[in-house]
Amino acid sequence: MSELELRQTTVEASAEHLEPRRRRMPRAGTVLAVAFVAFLAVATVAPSLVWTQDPNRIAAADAFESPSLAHWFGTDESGRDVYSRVIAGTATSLLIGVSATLIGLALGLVLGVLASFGGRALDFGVGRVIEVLFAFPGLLLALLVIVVAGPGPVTATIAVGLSTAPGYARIIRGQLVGIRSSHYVEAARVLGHSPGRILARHLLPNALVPLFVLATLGVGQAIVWAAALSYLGLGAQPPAAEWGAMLAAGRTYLATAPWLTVFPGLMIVGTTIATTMLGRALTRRGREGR
Amino acid sequence: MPLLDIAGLRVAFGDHEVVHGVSLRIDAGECVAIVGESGSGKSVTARALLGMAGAGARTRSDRLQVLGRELGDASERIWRDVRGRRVGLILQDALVSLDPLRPIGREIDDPLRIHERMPPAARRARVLELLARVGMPDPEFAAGRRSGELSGGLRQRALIASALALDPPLVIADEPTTALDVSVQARILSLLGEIRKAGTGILLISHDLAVVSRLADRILVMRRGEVIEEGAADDVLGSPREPYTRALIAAVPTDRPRGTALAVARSAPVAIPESPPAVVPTGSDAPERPPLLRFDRVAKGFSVPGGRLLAVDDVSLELRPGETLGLVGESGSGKTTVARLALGLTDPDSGVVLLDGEAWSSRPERERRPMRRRIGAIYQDALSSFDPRWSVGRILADAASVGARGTGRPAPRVEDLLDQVGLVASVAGRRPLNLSGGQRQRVAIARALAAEPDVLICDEPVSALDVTIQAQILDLLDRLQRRRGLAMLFISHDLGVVRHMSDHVAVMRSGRIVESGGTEAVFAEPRHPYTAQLVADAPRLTP
Repeated sequence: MSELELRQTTVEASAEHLEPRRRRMPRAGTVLAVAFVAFLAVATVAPSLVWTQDPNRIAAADAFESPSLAHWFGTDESGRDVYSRVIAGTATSLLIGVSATLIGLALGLVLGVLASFGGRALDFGVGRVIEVLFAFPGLLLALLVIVVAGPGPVTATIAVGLSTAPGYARIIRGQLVGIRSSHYVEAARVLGHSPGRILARHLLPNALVPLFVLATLGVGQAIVWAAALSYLGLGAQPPAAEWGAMLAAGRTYLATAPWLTVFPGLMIVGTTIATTMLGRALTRRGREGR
Repeated sequence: MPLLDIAGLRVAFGDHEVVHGVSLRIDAGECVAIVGESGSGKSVTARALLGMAGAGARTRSDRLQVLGRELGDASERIWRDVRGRRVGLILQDALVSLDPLRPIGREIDDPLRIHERMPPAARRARVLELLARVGMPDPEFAAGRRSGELSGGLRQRALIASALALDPPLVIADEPTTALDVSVQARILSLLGEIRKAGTGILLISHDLAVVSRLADRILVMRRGEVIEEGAADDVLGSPREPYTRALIAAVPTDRPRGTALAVARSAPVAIPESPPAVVPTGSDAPERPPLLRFDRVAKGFSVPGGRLLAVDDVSLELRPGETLGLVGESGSGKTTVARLALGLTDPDSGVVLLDGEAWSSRPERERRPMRRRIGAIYQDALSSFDPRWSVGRILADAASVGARGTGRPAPRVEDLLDQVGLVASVAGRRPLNLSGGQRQRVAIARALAAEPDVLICDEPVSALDVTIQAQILDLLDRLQRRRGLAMLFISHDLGVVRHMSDHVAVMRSGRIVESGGTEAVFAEPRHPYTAQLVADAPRLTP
């Protein structure tokens, strides 16, 4: 073939519309979510930078003050500053949320990979185990773990992680089964790539990307669950400033001093929303390509 | 009075106008065709005639009359009365156009129930009459089937029956045969021909001039939202004025000898290239070379409800270096199973596949893997064959690394790979999702060649593309094959395409090769009646 012909094809092919890439401005909500998560990060790493006073300083004279300029979120029954306690509790709450999610994901990944690659018998076995775990309400499963291992923040974390694992496992299995029969995995096989390479480069990344969003949702969920356990007195113990424990401690004064429960609750809600929005924004970017 | 009379039709989405003033007139018993590539505005035009140009579309026109009634600013209620009763619509894919959960009898009954006051028994009789009219075998039985239980051709018939239910004087058919096998396509086209003969006006929308030439009385060629050429079918096909029309005509592969370019460079002064085919290594020197890929009495079956289906039944094939073997047959004939056997993705029940004289199908996967780069593949749906997370550059680099590992030569550069398939280097940074269909198929070809294979398996590589893009891709494959001396197994349901591309052909039906031999020998004088039928049905220009 002649070079001229070649050049003509090039012109034709590039004449097919190559639309310019669009770089979209981040949405306002995303900016807010980033700011909030950044604030949480600071509160986790160096809470003393953002709190206004020692979260455990007792001042009986200041008990039950409603929110004001001096005490942004008010004070509790011992006169401790609620804002500073919320900040102090960030590290514990986030740690519980994130580690519980990671535990759930890791366990789910193991179960999911086993089910989708371990052959028919293992798939059947893992499937039934997942179903049995599903049959228990999540919190009940967590309670079971705590009964066996005793209360405390570490047990609570593991318990919450365990109870979220079956959900992740089922999704990972479904993803892997779908992707394994996809055309691009077939194309990789045709090229002669080894199963290990296909697993590492195609299967796992594609299976885990959608899980990423789910995991950001899961972090919020895990915080709520851990808070629930703390609320029941099975997780973090007073006077620790964990958000769930604060909710539990404040419930007695719900009618007279609602700020004791409202602000820790708002933090839980805010964190869940912010991580979810971040996760969504990240997947959106991933989907739109570079 | 014309059935349809429009003038100066404009359709815009937001500030973006996609149809710039189309005028069109259809009389009773006349078939007018709009031809153009995807994105030319032909489908939007057709939809605007039904008041359904789409969400956010603004339609303006100097005149928009259906059966003498001005509908330029008609309300949705008036449009609903027009649709179905006055104008019937036939869409491309009956599978998505028919409700999968309802029997087709109910689907066809819908317009009767909504628009007519008929007792149920009379409607039932009408449904069966319609199904019989569109040539549905055993209408009683078919009426109770859901669309998913019918073949593509029967499904399309059912859709046509539902469009004809109210005897509309005008029928709009938008790519009515694009998803179908050639033989089914021929039957659907002759069915539309009969409808026209009965006095119905037809507006036919297609990207394929060969389809249009069988039916149309007048042809409008659309490009970028404008009608650039229009006239009687014979004039447009016989003596086209516009270069673009000539390119569309040139793109039809049927009856174009192997080695002739199909795509006309748009910038060049246009004459349809009639250059003789380059020297093809066939005939006398071919037998001296041992076959690269050989099927020896291969059979492969699948378990289906109620027994076993032999998808490939006692198939023997030989593919030599530098040669194209065309495999043609309807969907379900076992062509794709042959491709999968050749690629070593599935193993035969009996018989063997040999690669370059060595065992291929009988090898354990571990031994087969290092040999895999010698056989490349191109699929019908290029997009789904790319990891959605990967950029074009990463896809190609990944494939090139395989070639480097196998041959010991340095891996070809991504830019060079893109260049040889006629893509600019900047495509490397993009994802396949953001490319057009033709560009995606070029990337797929570049990937297949990156591993430096000896054999290329092409499974319906162009059947999802417009004819003009198809022409470019076929030309590209042909050139690359010549340059690299590739052996190519070219699988298609489209006999015109196979005939244009192949040195040898094998005609497949129900898992068996019914006829094979040199391309011209087989198609010039088909011995098997099925081959003769395929030849007769191939879409060709019939001016």
